[in-house]
Amino acid sequence: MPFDSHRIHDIPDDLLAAIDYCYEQGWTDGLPVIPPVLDRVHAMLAYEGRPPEAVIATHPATTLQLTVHAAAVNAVMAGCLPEYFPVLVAAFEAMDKPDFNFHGSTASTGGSAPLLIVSGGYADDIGMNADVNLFGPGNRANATIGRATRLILRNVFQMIPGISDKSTQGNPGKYSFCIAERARGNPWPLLCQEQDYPEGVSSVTVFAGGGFCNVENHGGNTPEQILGSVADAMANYGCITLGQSVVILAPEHMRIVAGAGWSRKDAQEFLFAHAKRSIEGMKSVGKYRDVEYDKQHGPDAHSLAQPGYIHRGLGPDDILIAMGGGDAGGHSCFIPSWSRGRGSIMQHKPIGVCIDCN
Amino acid sequence: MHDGISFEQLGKRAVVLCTEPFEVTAKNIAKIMGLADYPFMKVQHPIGSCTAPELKARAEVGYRQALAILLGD
Repeated sequence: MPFDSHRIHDIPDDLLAAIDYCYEQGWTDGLPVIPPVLDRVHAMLAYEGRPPEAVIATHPATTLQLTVHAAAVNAVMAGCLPEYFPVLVAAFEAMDKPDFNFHGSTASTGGSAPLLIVSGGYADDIGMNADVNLFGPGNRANATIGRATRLILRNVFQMIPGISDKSTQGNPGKYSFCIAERARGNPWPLLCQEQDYPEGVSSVTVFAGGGFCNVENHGGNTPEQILGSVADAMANYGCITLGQSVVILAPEHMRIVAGAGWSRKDAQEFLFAHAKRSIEGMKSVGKYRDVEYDKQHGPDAHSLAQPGYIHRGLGPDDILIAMGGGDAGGHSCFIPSWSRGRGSIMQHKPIGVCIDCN
Repeated sequence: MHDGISFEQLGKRAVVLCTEPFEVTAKNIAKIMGLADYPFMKVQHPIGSCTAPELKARAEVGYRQALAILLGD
Protein backbone atom coordinates (compact mmCIF):
# COMPACT_ATOMS: atom_id res chain seq x y z
CA MET A 1 0.00 0.00 0.00
CA PRO A 2 1.53 3.34 -0.96
CA PHE A 3 2.39 5.72 1.86
CA ASP A 4 -0.21 8.27 0.93
CA SER A 5 -3.08 5.90 0.13
CA HIS A 6 -4.82 6.29 3.49
CA ARG A 7 -4.94 10.00 2.99
CA ILE A 8 -6.81 9.90 -0.29
CA HIS A 9 -10.23 11.52 -0.11
CA ASP A 10 -12.86 10.21 -2.51
CA ILE A 11 -14.84 13.12 -3.94
CA PRO A 12 -16.80 13.81 -7.14
CA ASP A 13 -14.71 14.52 -10.24
CA ASP A 14 -15.54 18.22 -10.19
CA LEU A 15 -12.89 20.89 -9.62
CA LEU A 16 -15.17 23.45 -7.97
CA ALA A 17 -16.65 20.77 -5.75
CA ALA A 18 -13.12 19.78 -4.76
CA ILE A 19 -12.30 23.37 -3.84
CA ASP A 20 -15.46 23.55 -1.77
CA TYR A 21 -14.51 20.24 -0.15
CA CYS A 22 -11.18 21.73 0.95
CA TYR A 23 -13.09 24.62 2.52
CA GLU A 24 -15.36 22.18 4.32
CA GLN A 25 -12.38 20.33 5.76
CA GLY A 26 -10.97 23.57 7.17
CA TRP A 27 -7.82 23.34 5.06
CA THR A 28 -7.71 26.89 3.77
CA ASP A 29 -6.57 30.33 4.90
CA GLY A 30 -9.88 31.75 3.72
CA LEU A 31 -8.86 31.85 0.08
CA PRO A 32 -9.48 28.94 -2.30
CA VAL A 33 -6.78 26.30 -2.47
CA ILE A 34 -5.69 24.02 -5.29
CA PRO A 35 -7.11 20.57 -4.53
CA PRO A 36 -4.06 18.37 -3.80
CA VAL A 37 -4.57 15.77 -6.50
CA LEU A 38 -2.13 12.88 -6.53
CA ASP A 39 -0.14 13.68 -9.63
CA ARG A 40 0.64 17.19 -8.39
CA VAL A 41 1.66 15.90 -4.98
CA HIS A 42 3.94 13.33 -6.61
CA ALA A 43 5.50 16.01 -8.82
CA MET A 44 6.25 18.02 -5.70
CA LEU A 45 7.77 14.98 -3.97
CA ALA A 46 10.10 14.46 -6.93
CA TYR A 47 11.98 17.59 -5.82
CA GLU A 48 12.87 16.07 -2.46
CA GLY A 49 15.42 13.31 -2.11
CA ARG A 50 14.06 11.88 1.10
CA PRO A 51 11.10 9.49 1.31
CA PRO A 52 7.60 10.91 1.84
CA GLU A 53 7.46 9.76 5.45
CA ALA A 54 10.70 11.54 6.39
CA VAL A 55 10.12 14.14 9.11
CA ILE A 56 11.13 17.73 8.39
CA ALA A 57 9.95 19.42 11.60
CA THR A 58 8.27 18.55 14.89
CA HIS A 59 5.93 20.72 16.89
CA PRO A 60 7.52 21.00 20.32
CA ALA A 61 4.27 21.33 22.28
CA THR A 62 2.09 18.74 20.57
CA THR A 63 4.73 16.50 18.92
CA LEU A 64 2.77 16.77 15.65
CA GLN A 65 5.19 16.12 12.80
CA LEU A 66 5.63 17.63 9.36
CA THR A 67 6.52 14.91 6.88
CA VAL A 68 7.80 15.51 3.39
CA HIS A 69 4.46 14.21 2.15
CA ALA A 70 2.39 16.62 4.24
CA ALA A 71 4.59 19.50 3.15
CA ALA A 72 4.06 18.52 -0.49
CA VAL A 73 0.28 18.37 -0.08
CA ASN A 74 0.18 21.84 1.42
CA ALA A 75 2.58 23.19 -1.19
CA VAL A 76 0.19 22.01 -3.89
CA MET A 77 -2.76 23.56 -2.09
CA ALA A 78 -0.92 26.88 -1.81
CA GLY A 79 -0.27 26.90 -5.55
CA CYS A 80 3.47 26.13 -5.50
CA LEU A 81 5.28 24.76 -8.51
CA PRO A 82 7.44 21.72 -7.76
CA GLU A 83 10.67 23.68 -8.11
CA TYR A 84 9.61 25.87 -5.19
CA PHE A 85 9.48 22.87 -2.86
CA PRO A 86 13.15 22.88 -1.76
CA VAL A 87 12.70 26.43 -0.42
CA LEU A 88 9.71 25.37 1.64
CA VAL A 89 11.54 22.32 3.00
CA ALA A 90 14.60 24.39 3.92
CA ALA A 91 12.39 26.99 5.60
CA PHE A 92 10.83 24.39 7.89
CA GLU A 93 14.20 22.84 8.61
CA ALA A 94 15.27 26.29 9.78
CA MET A 95 12.07 26.82 11.75
CA ASP A 96 12.55 23.43 13.40
CA LYS A 97 15.63 24.70 15.20
CA PRO A 98 14.56 25.14 18.84
CA ASP A 99 15.74 28.74 19.04
CA PHE A 100 13.26 29.75 16.36
CA ASN A 101 10.36 28.59 18.55
CA PHE A 102 7.73 28.34 15.85
CA HIS A 103 5.12 27.25 18.37
CA GLY A 104 5.46 30.35 20.51
CA SER A 105 5.70 32.75 17.63
CA THR A 106 2.62 31.27 15.97
CA ALA A 107 0.47 30.74 19.07
CA SER A 108 1.17 34.08 20.72
CA THR A 109 -1.04 37.13 20.90
CA GLY A 110 1.87 38.93 19.19
CA GLY A 111 0.48 37.91 15.82
CA SER A 112 3.71 37.24 14.01
CA ALA A 113 4.26 35.48 10.72
CA PRO A 114 7.40 33.72 9.54
CA LEU A 115 9.18 36.03 7.12
CA LEU A 116 11.20 34.03 4.58
CA ILE A 117 14.14 35.75 2.87
CA VAL A 118 15.57 33.73 0.00
CA SER A 119 19.15 34.62 -0.88
CA GLY A 120 21.27 33.47 -3.80
CA GLY A 121 20.85 32.15 -7.30
CA TYR A 122 18.00 29.78 -6.51
CA ALA A 123 15.70 32.77 -6.11
CA ASP A 124 16.31 33.72 -9.74
CA ASP A 125 16.15 30.09 -10.87
CA ILE A 126 12.55 29.81 -9.70
CA GLY A 127 11.56 33.32 -10.72
CA MET A 128 11.22 34.94 -7.33
CA ASN A 129 10.70 38.66 -7.04
CA ALA A 130 13.39 40.73 -5.32
CA ASP A 131 12.44 43.89 -7.16
CA VAL A 132 9.51 46.28 -7.50
CA ASN A 133 6.50 45.62 -5.23
CA LEU A 134 8.72 43.31 -3.17
CA PHE A 135 6.24 42.55 -0.40
CA GLY A 136 3.18 42.94 -2.61
CA PRO A 137 1.24 40.51 -4.76
CA GLY A 138 1.95 39.38 -8.29
CA ASN A 139 4.73 36.84 -8.12
CA ARG A 140 3.74 33.20 -7.90
CA ALA A 141 6.86 31.95 -6.12
CA ASN A 142 6.88 34.63 -3.43
CA ALA A 143 3.15 34.38 -2.86
CA THR A 144 2.78 30.63 -2.78
CA ILE A 145 5.91 29.69 -0.83
CA GLY A 146 4.86 32.09 1.89
CA ARG A 147 1.31 30.84 1.72
CA ALA A 148 2.39 27.21 1.93
CA THR A 149 4.37 28.04 5.06
CA ARG A 150 1.25 29.35 6.70
CA LEU A 151 -0.94 26.47 5.47
CA ILE A 152 1.47 23.97 7.03
CA LEU A 153 1.34 25.78 10.35
CA ARG A 154 -2.43 25.62 10.15
CA ASN A 155 -3.10 22.21 8.66
CA VAL A 156 -0.21 20.11 9.92
CA PHE A 157 0.66 21.77 13.21
CA GLN A 158 -2.97 22.69 13.91
CA MET A 159 -2.21 26.32 14.72
CA ILE A 160 -5.83 27.28 14.19
CA PRO A 161 -6.82 30.94 14.53
CA GLY A 162 -8.87 31.48 17.67
CA ILE A 163 -7.94 28.11 19.14
CA SER A 164 -4.21 27.55 19.09
CA ASP A 165 -3.27 30.74 17.27
CA LYS A 166 -4.30 33.52 19.62
CA SER A 167 -2.98 36.50 17.66
CA THR A 168 -4.70 39.59 18.98
CA GLN A 169 -4.70 41.28 15.56
CA GLY A 170 -2.33 39.21 13.42
CA ASN A 171 -0.74 40.89 10.44
CA PRO A 172 -1.18 40.70 6.66
CA GLY A 173 1.98 38.59 6.42
CA LYS A 174 0.03 35.74 7.90
CA TYR A 175 -1.35 35.12 4.43
CA SER A 176 2.14 35.09 2.91
CA PHE A 177 5.44 36.70 3.90
CA CYS A 178 8.20 35.64 1.55
CA ILE A 179 10.72 37.70 -0.43
CA ALA A 180 13.98 37.30 -2.28
CA GLU A 181 17.08 39.35 -1.55
CA ARG A 182 17.93 41.50 -4.54
CA ALA A 183 21.27 40.51 -6.09
CA ARG A 184 21.12 42.89 -9.06
CA GLY A 185 23.03 46.05 -8.26
CA ASN A 186 23.68 44.93 -4.70
CA PRO A 187 26.98 46.39 -3.44
CA TRP A 188 27.14 44.15 -0.39
CA PRO A 189 27.75 40.40 -0.12
CA LEU A 190 24.49 38.46 -0.25
CA LEU A 191 23.10 36.99 2.95
CA CYS A 192 23.96 33.46 1.80
CA GLN A 193 27.58 34.55 1.47
CA GLU A 194 27.55 36.22 4.88
CA GLN A 195 26.12 32.99 6.24
CA ASP A 196 29.24 31.18 4.95
CA TYR A 197 27.52 28.79 2.59
CA PRO A 198 29.70 27.42 -0.20
CA GLU A 199 29.82 29.21 -3.52
CA GLY A 200 26.62 28.64 -5.44
CA VAL A 201 24.55 27.54 -2.46
CA SER A 202 21.44 29.61 -1.77
CA SER A 203 19.77 29.98 1.59
CA VAL A 204 16.49 30.82 3.22
CA THR A 205 16.40 32.87 6.41
CA VAL A 206 13.34 32.70 8.64
CA PHE A 207 12.34 35.45 11.05
CA ALA A 208 9.26 35.69 13.25
CA GLY A 209 8.13 39.06 11.97
CA GLY A 210 5.66 41.16 13.91
CA GLY A 211 4.44 43.35 11.07
CA PHE A 212 5.76 45.85 8.57
CA CYS A 213 6.90 49.45 9.02
CA ASN A 214 7.55 51.56 5.92
CA VAL A 215 10.51 53.95 6.26
CA GLU A 216 10.05 56.85 3.86
CA ASN A 217 12.94 59.23 3.28
CA HIS A 218 13.22 61.04 -0.04
CA GLY A 219 15.19 64.02 1.23
CA GLY A 220 18.13 62.42 2.96
CA ASN A 221 21.31 61.95 0.96
CA THR A 222 23.82 60.72 3.55
CA PRO A 223 24.05 57.34 5.32
CA GLU A 224 23.39 59.06 8.64
CA GLN A 225 20.16 60.63 7.35
CA ILE A 226 18.86 57.48 5.71
CA LEU A 227 19.80 55.12 8.52
CA GLY A 228 18.78 57.72 11.09
CA SER A 229 15.21 57.49 9.83
CA VAL A 230 15.41 53.69 9.89
CA ALA A 231 16.73 53.77 13.46
CA ASP A 232 13.89 56.04 14.50
CA ALA A 233 11.37 53.52 13.14
CA MET A 234 13.16 50.72 15.00
CA ALA A 235 13.04 52.68 18.25
CA ASN A 236 9.37 53.68 18.20
CA TYR A 237 7.74 52.99 21.54
CA GLY A 238 5.43 50.40 20.06
CA CYS A 239 8.29 48.34 18.67
CA ILE A 240 11.36 48.83 20.79
CA THR A 241 12.37 45.65 22.63
CA LEU A 242 15.48 43.53 23.01
CA GLY A 243 14.35 41.52 19.99
CA GLN A 244 16.03 41.16 16.63
CA SER A 245 15.25 43.28 13.58
CA VAL A 246 15.05 42.92 9.82
CA VAL A 247 15.72 45.96 7.66
CA ILE A 248 15.21 45.78 3.90
CA LEU A 249 16.93 48.73 2.28
CA ALA A 250 15.49 50.02 -0.96
CA PRO A 251 18.04 50.28 -3.78
CA GLU A 252 17.70 54.08 -3.70
CA HIS A 253 18.65 54.12 -0.03
CA MET A 254 21.32 51.47 -0.51
CA ARG A 255 23.03 53.57 -3.17
CA ILE A 256 23.36 56.39 -0.63
CA VAL A 257 24.58 54.17 2.20
CA ALA A 258 26.97 51.93 0.28
CA GLY A 259 27.93 54.73 -2.08
CA ALA A 260 29.50 56.52 0.87
CA GLY A 261 31.60 53.45 1.54
CA TRP A 262 29.51 51.98 4.33
CA SER A 263 29.59 48.21 4.76
CA ARG A 264 26.78 46.08 6.20
CA LYS A 265 28.66 46.03 9.50
CA ASP A 266 28.92 49.83 9.52
CA ALA A 267 25.19 50.11 8.98
CA GLN A 268 24.37 47.52 11.65
CA GLU A 269 26.51 49.36 14.19
CA PHE A 270 24.93 52.71 13.32
CA LEU A 271 21.43 51.31 13.64
CA PHE A 272 22.15 49.64 16.96
CA ALA A 273 23.75 52.77 18.35
CA HIS A 274 20.87 55.02 17.28
CA ALA A 275 17.79 52.81 17.73
CA LYS A 276 17.36 53.57 21.41
CA ARG A 277 15.12 55.16 24.02
CA SER A 278 16.04 56.66 27.36
CA ILE A 279 15.09 54.96 30.59
CA GLU A 280 12.86 57.93 31.39
CA GLY A 281 11.14 57.64 28.04
CA MET A 282 10.55 53.92 28.49
CA LYS A 283 9.14 54.58 31.94
CA SER A 284 6.83 57.23 30.54
CA VAL A 285 5.01 54.59 28.48
CA GLY A 286 5.19 51.87 31.11
CA LYS A 287 7.59 49.65 29.17
CA TYR A 288 10.73 49.92 31.28
CA ARG A 289 11.93 46.78 33.04
CA ASP A 290 15.08 46.51 35.13
CA VAL A 291 15.75 42.98 34.00
CA GLU A 292 15.83 44.03 30.35
CA TYR A 293 18.12 46.96 31.02
CA ASP A 294 20.45 44.73 33.03
CA LYS A 295 20.51 42.18 30.25
CA GLN A 296 21.59 44.81 27.76
CA HIS A 297 24.07 46.54 30.04
CA GLY A 298 25.52 43.60 31.98
CA PRO A 299 29.05 42.23 31.81
CA ASP A 300 28.57 41.04 28.22
CA ALA A 301 27.11 44.32 27.00
CA HIS A 302 28.06 45.51 23.54
CA SER A 303 30.37 48.50 23.60
CA LEU A 304 27.80 50.59 21.69
CA ALA A 305 25.14 50.10 24.38
CA GLN A 306 24.86 53.53 25.97
CA PRO A 307 24.24 53.76 29.71
CA GLY A 308 20.82 55.15 30.50
CA TYR A 309 19.27 53.87 27.27
CA ILE A 310 17.45 50.79 26.03
CA HIS A 311 18.60 49.87 22.53
CA ARG A 312 16.77 47.66 20.08
CA GLY A 313 18.40 44.21 20.28
CA LEU A 314 21.47 43.13 22.19
CA GLY A 315 23.99 44.18 19.58
CA PRO A 316 24.51 45.07 15.92
CA ASP A 317 24.41 41.41 14.88
CA ASP A 318 20.76 41.34 15.93
CA ILE A 319 19.95 43.52 12.92
CA LEU A 320 19.71 41.76 9.57
CA ILE A 321 20.05 44.15 6.65
CA ALA A 322 19.41 43.16 3.05
CA MET A 323 18.53 45.00 -0.14
CA GLY A 324 15.23 44.62 -1.91
CA GLY A 325 12.63 46.49 -3.92
CA GLY A 326 12.38 48.51 -7.10
CA ASP A 327 14.91 50.99 -8.42
CA ALA A 328 12.79 54.04 -7.73
CA GLY A 329 11.57 55.29 -4.40
CA GLY A 330 12.95 56.16 -1.00
CA HIS A 331 10.98 53.45 0.78
CA SER A 332 12.81 50.97 2.93
CA CYS A 333 11.21 48.96 5.68
CA PHE A 334 11.74 47.70 9.18
CA ILE A 335 10.25 44.40 10.28
CA PRO A 336 9.95 44.19 14.07
CA SER A 337 10.37 40.90 15.83
CA TRP A 338 7.59 38.98 17.50
CA SER A 339 10.02 38.26 20.29
CA ARG A 340 10.51 40.94 22.91
CA GLY A 341 13.83 39.35 23.84
CA ARG A 342 15.31 36.03 22.85
CA GLY A 343 12.01 34.13 22.50
CA SER A 344 12.64 33.57 18.79
CA ILE A 345 16.00 33.90 17.08
CA MET A 346 16.15 34.04 13.29
CA GLN A 347 17.56 30.96 11.58
CA HIS A 348 18.75 29.98 8.12
CA LYS A 349 19.29 26.84 6.08
CA PRO A 350 20.72 26.03 2.65
CA ILE A 351 18.28 25.29 -0.13
CA GLY A 352 18.25 21.94 -1.85
CA VAL A 353 21.52 20.70 -0.41
CA CYS A 354 22.53 18.97 2.76
CA ILE A 355 25.40 20.51 4.68
CA ASP A 356 26.53 18.90 7.91
CA CYS A 357 23.44 16.70 7.93
CA ASN A 358 23.18 13.69 10.16
CA MET B 1 -0.42 23.20 29.36
CA HIS B 2 2.30 21.18 27.69
CA ASP B 3 4.62 21.72 30.65
CA GLY B 4 1.94 20.86 33.20
CA ILE B 5 0.95 17.62 31.51
CA SER B 6 4.60 16.74 31.00
CA PHE B 7 5.17 17.14 34.75
CA GLU B 8 2.16 14.95 35.50
CA GLN B 9 3.44 12.29 33.11
CA LEU B 10 6.69 12.29 35.09
CA GLY B 11 4.72 11.73 38.30
CA LYS B 12 4.96 15.31 39.56
CA ARG B 13 1.82 17.21 40.49
CA ALA B 14 1.33 20.44 38.59
CA VAL B 15 -1.22 23.20 38.20
CA VAL B 16 -1.60 25.02 34.93
CA LEU B 17 -2.70 28.65 34.99
CA CYS B 18 -4.18 30.53 32.07
CA THR B 19 -6.27 33.65 31.63
CA GLU B 20 -9.83 33.28 30.40
CA PRO B 21 -9.27 34.07 26.69
CA PHE B 22 -6.82 31.18 26.53
CA GLU B 23 -9.19 28.55 27.87
CA VAL B 24 -9.96 27.20 24.41
CA THR B 25 -6.23 27.04 23.61
CA ALA B 26 -5.45 25.18 26.83
CA LYS B 27 -8.23 22.67 26.21
CA ASN B 28 -7.00 22.11 22.68
CA ILE B 29 -3.47 21.33 23.81
CA ALA B 30 -4.78 19.04 26.56
CA LYS B 31 -6.88 17.20 23.98
CA ILE B 32 -3.94 16.83 21.60
CA MET B 33 -1.85 15.48 24.47
CA GLY B 34 -4.52 12.88 25.28
CA LEU B 35 -5.86 14.41 28.51
CA ALA B 36 -8.91 16.31 27.35
CA ASP B 37 -10.31 16.65 30.87
CA TYR B 38 -7.10 17.85 32.48
CA PRO B 39 -8.17 20.54 35.00
CA PHE B 40 -6.50 23.94 35.06
CA MET B 41 -6.85 27.34 36.68
CA LYS B 42 -8.53 30.22 34.90
CA VAL B 43 -8.23 33.82 35.98
CA GLN B 44 -9.38 37.10 34.53
CA HIS B 45 -7.36 38.67 31.72
CA PRO B 46 -5.00 40.57 31.59
CA ILE B 47 -2.08 40.01 33.94
CA GLY B 48 0.73 42.17 32.60
CA SER B 49 -0.87 45.57 33.13
CA CYS B 50 -2.58 44.82 36.47
CA THR B 51 -2.21 46.99 39.52
CA ALA B 52 -1.12 45.23 42.70
CA PRO B 53 -4.70 45.02 44.09
CA GLU B 54 -5.99 43.64 40.80
CA LEU B 55 -3.23 41.07 40.75
CA LYS B 56 -3.98 40.10 44.35
CA ALA B 57 -7.64 39.55 43.50
CA ARG B 58 -6.68 37.26 40.62
CA ALA B 59 -4.25 35.39 42.85
CA GLU B 60 -6.96 34.75 45.43
CA VAL B 61 -9.29 33.35 42.80
CA GLY B 62 -6.50 31.24 41.36
CA TYR B 63 -5.39 30.01 44.77
CA ARG B 64 -8.81 28.53 45.52
CA GLN B 65 -8.86 26.81 42.14
CA ALA B 66 -5.35 25.46 42.65
CA LEU B 67 -6.28 23.95 46.00
CA ALA B 68 -9.31 22.26 44.49
CA ILE B 69 -7.22 20.82 41.68
CA LEU B 70 -4.40 19.63 43.90
CA LEU B 71 -6.68 18.21 46.58
CA GLY B 72 -9.00 16.62 44.08
CA ASP B 73 -12.05 18.52 45.30
